[in-house]
Amino acid sequence: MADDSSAAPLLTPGELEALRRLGLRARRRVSSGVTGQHRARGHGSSLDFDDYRPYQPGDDPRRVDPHAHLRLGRLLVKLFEAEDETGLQLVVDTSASMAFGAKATVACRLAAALAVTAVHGGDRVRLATTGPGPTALGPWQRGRPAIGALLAQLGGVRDAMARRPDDPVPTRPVADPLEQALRLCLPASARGPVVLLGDLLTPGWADLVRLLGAARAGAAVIHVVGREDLDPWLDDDPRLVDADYGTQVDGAATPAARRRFADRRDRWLDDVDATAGTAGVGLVRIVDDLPVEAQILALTRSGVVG
Amino acid sequence: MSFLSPLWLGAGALVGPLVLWYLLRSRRPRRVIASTLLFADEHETVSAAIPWQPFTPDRTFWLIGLAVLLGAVGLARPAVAVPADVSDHTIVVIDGSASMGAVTDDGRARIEVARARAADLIDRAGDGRLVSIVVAGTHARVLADTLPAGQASRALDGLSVSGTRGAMADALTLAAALIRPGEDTVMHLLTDGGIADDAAALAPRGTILTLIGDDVPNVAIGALRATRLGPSAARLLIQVDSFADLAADVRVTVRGADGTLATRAARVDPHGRTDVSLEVDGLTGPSPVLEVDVALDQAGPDGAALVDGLASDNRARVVLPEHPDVRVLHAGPENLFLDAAIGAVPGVTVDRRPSLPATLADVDLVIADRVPLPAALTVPVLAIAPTALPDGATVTGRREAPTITRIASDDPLLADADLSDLAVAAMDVVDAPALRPLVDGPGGPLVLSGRIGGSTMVLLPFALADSNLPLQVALPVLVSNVVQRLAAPPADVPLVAGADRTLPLAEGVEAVLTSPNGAAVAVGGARPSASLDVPGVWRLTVDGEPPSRGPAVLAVNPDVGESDLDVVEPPLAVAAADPEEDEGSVAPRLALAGDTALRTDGRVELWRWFLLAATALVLAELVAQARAERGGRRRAAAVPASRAEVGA
Repeated sequence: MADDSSAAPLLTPGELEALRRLGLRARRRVSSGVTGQHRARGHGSSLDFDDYRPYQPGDDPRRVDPHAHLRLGRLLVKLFEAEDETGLQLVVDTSASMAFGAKATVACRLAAALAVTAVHGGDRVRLATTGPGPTALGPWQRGRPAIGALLAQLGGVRDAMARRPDDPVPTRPVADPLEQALRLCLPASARGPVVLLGDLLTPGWADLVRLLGAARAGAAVIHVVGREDLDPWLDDDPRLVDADYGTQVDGAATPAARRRFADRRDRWLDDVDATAGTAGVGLVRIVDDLPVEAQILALTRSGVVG
Repeated sequence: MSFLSPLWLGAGALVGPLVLWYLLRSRRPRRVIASTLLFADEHETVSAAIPWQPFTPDRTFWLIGLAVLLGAVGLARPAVAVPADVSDHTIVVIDGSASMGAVTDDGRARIEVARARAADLIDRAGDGRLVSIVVAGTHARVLADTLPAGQASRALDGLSVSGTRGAMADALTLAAALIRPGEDTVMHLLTDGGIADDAAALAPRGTILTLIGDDVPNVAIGALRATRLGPSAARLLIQVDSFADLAADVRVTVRGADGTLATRAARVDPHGRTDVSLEVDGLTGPSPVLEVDVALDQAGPDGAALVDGLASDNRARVVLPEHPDVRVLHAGPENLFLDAAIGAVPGVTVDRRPSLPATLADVDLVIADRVPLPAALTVPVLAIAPTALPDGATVTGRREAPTITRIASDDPLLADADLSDLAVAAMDVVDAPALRPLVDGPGGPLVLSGRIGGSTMVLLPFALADSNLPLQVALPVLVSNVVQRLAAPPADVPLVAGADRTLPLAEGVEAVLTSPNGAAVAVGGARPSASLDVPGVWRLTVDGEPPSRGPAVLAVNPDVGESDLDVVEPPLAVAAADPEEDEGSVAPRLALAGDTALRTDGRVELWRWFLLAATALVLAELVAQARAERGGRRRAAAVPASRAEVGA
């Protein structure tokens, strides 16, 4: 079921070094309130001139443009763009379906890559987790010590998903933990992008994508799909059991059934693309058998890093 | 067990397809995949089913398979044959004897239990069927003759207990006559047992016998005799019988017209009897009636331990003879022993003469000792070694030291007279065909009795001096018995209640017999008899006046044969327990053997039980499925817990 790469580190030293060339990008102006390197809403103290405005008592006299005073005879104060720190929020799908193939490893690796990239850029990162109780967000982490902590946390997530039970029982669909995690992330979405890493193999995937589109500083979906999910090989008439909900479907190995599956699969992928585009969410689809370098390079297409 | 619709057993073949389905059903391998999202709405028929799977029945197979089989059996209407309680024609024979008046454990009389049982049978018969009721009382009576059940139920109001034995043989004969050929008929016999073999043989085969009641103790007056001791005194000999397993303390009370005359406490051994002798005085009237009661003495050591089961046999009556003294003519030479024996008999007036006179007037009994007898007897005679015999009796020889081989000890004349040690030196051998030997031997009879000529005679063909009889107690007892039997008026002995009793009425006299209840019936004719169905004092009148000869008052006492209240199963019975009996006092039914076979095709259908069992199995399967589903949900609720590791 799960791949046997649980013992390996998520990122090699070479990959960590390569990530230094990338930086976190905010597709929209952030507003974290902490000075950083990313354009923010309002005016700040960066070197990028933005505008003039009439002098008001109390303004810093050093901001008065003497050239404009000589030319126009009025006291004008120079305004510069604000640069805030970006806060990256990562939501990793830890459902049972992610334990199939190398999806969990890929998702955790890409999450680690995004986190390392953010930390290297001086930004903050926090990891959204789900649990049996209320879904909780991890603490904001920054600085070099955060790299080790985040890698260890994501490594634990990957290892936990390798121990999934393989005898799911039928159960009624409950509130999607991913949706809960996203809702927790949205209040802080003005600080930076929200990135969801998952296979979207859930009946409410469209709602998740639309919810993600509500993030104020941009959002992206790293759509990790398994090769086996896209092209399941059925050599008999199995009774297929959903790993998450235990629902059972009688599968068939007939050509007609294969054609119907391919149609449903393609339609689903198209719908995901369309929904993400409509919601303004960046989408990167990564198949779990893609080489690691290609996976990391693909991140740049998400608009979150560059 | 039989099946009323056996073709439905074929429904059991439905198990075959069930087994076949288990053999042929597709075994889809269970495969867990990431998500069935992309397989939604997949309804493709299985194309690669693997036939002939190994037969591996599970719980569902066993439950449903068994339910199918039970359902098939139930549809086939299984039934078991049982003795039919009711049928198109139900005949109920009820014992109406005196013992049916005994109480049962619940305080009801046996006859009431029988009435309730009969009413239950009538109710179960329903209005669409016919019911006949026959009562075996003093006479067999038909209370309901092939009536609808509703009318027959009302006829039970006339059911009552008689004071006599039940005419069971007549009742069964009458009931058998009610059976109509070709009609389904069931006969019930409700009795407390004690059916004689000949009566049981009259019951048709298949008759359902229900024994009523249970063994209860009882005390009764078995016999009552009275002897007048004078104008106003009498001696009563009361025999008290006990039918209890414990010794019974009883109190005997004698009442006359003026109230209680005497009481006496006594103790009766278990299943034994005791004689109580009482002398009463102060009697008035020519023929006073003495009434004797016996009751358990609660004050006695064991009195409180017993309950008298039947009250009707605790009271007996006797009528004292109107003429107290028996006039005896004692003819013959002196005989000290005989004189003493005659003198010991109370109420006797003796006329002593050396020889018999020519005419015997105003004499009730002649005791002729070694004197010739007249050729024709006109009065009862006790003849001892007569020198001449009347016509019809002759002396054929002489026998020395005869031996005794038979003694008719059950003859009333020899009651309480022990002649087993009688030794005779010499006697005449008498040939008298009209006389019956009471004491007999190879050499000839030693004591004879019977009616010869126009009167009765007791003959001892040996002289008392030639035997040891004078030295034995048997002599005065024998003389007393002879005096009582041959000379005393018959009214001394109370009559026993029952049917067709001979009345002490002269031949050819037409009289009216009045019962204690006031019912009058005409009696008379060559053999005067009547059914004395009620114990008590009966009265005879001729043209409204007491008869000139014979008693005018008759004491009728209960039949002591009804006093034993043990419930005895008929000897020909074949046990057939009835599970529906709920009365603890009602014994199981028995099937009597008889000459006629009843058509009893009763059956109990069991299809409801089979279908109920099948339904229960199906429900059990549903419950098991529901429980399994609930268990799955509980396990499913634990699945999100694994996500906790993600948030660590």
